[in-house]
Amino acid sequence: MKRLTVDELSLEGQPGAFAATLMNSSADLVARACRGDQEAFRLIFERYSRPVISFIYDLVGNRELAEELTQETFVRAFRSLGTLRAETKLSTWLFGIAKNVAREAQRSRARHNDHVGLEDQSVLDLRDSEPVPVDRVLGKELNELIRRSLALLDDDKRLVFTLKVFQQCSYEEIAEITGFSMGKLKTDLHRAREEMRRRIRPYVGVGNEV
Amino acid sequence: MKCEACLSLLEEYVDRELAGREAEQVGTHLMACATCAAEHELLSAEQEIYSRYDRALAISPAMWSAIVERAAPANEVAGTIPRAGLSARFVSFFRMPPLGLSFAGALVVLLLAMAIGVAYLKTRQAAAPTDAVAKKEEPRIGPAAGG
Repeated sequence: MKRLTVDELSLEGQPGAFAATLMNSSADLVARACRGDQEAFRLIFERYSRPVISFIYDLVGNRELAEELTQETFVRAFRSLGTLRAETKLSTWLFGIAKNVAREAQRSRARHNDHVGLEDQSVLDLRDSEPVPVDRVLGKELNELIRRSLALLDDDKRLVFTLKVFQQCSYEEIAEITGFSMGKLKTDLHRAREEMRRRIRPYVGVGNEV
Repeated sequence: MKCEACLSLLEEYVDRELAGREAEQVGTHLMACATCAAEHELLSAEQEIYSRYDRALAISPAMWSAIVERAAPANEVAGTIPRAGLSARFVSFFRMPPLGLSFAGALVVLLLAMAIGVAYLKTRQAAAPTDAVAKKEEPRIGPAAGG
């Protein structure tokens, strides 16, 4: 059998990159972080902070709050790394913590009557918008349209929709993160898609233009 | 496969959640049915729109510093992550100064209470035989005094 040389083990012509990639696999980073390696946890943060903040932002719809809750998510993760089971995917575990943190914040804001809901004028404005062909929708307008449409979904539907459509989680992972049964998550996802379609299609011209 | 069955599986097909045989059947049907294929295209177009969603969120360097700072008080030394083992957690429990002091105080009070209790029991045990003798002797003294 042919033995692999160091160069063959390298990635993109960088000797040692293959070994470094192996060293930085999620499982390895978790193992190192559990042993007290702060650098490993920093790499976990670098790798997952963006998806986590996006996920939280989609749930709470507020930039400052999303930053605050992302911080809280990683603090909790940092403190409970020891509870991470070997068979659990790191991203699934982090999304699970993020979901709990966001839900707690939403409950707290709801108690203080400080949440974005159907009463929010910017959300209601969506219904009065004129249909715009998809190629004429500028990035900023499209982002705003999606953000407002998401805000109109109920919590469970928004959670499932975000995990599937934006975070590309599998149904199995979504079930693990949310604790929903497969039946409920499929139903919620289907209904969320329908609601989003009703709100977005007329304004971006999907089905007419595409 | 009929259109009804195909449409009911379309979302799962787009999500790549269908097992091999079902995915194959849907794929074959989509090649032959224009109506279902159009629906499939719409779903794919929607997915494309969602993939363009840009939240314009940034991760500030200050966030990592804040996380380290906030997580540090839970550890014995700032900048280290607690070991996951049970023994390490047990040891760190005692090393936490406020809890360690109060626990030591409680332990001293408990030991004092135990020492007092043991001493009290020993005194009672020592006094018990004398009482028993006195009680036994009482009836003898009684009739003699009465007679």
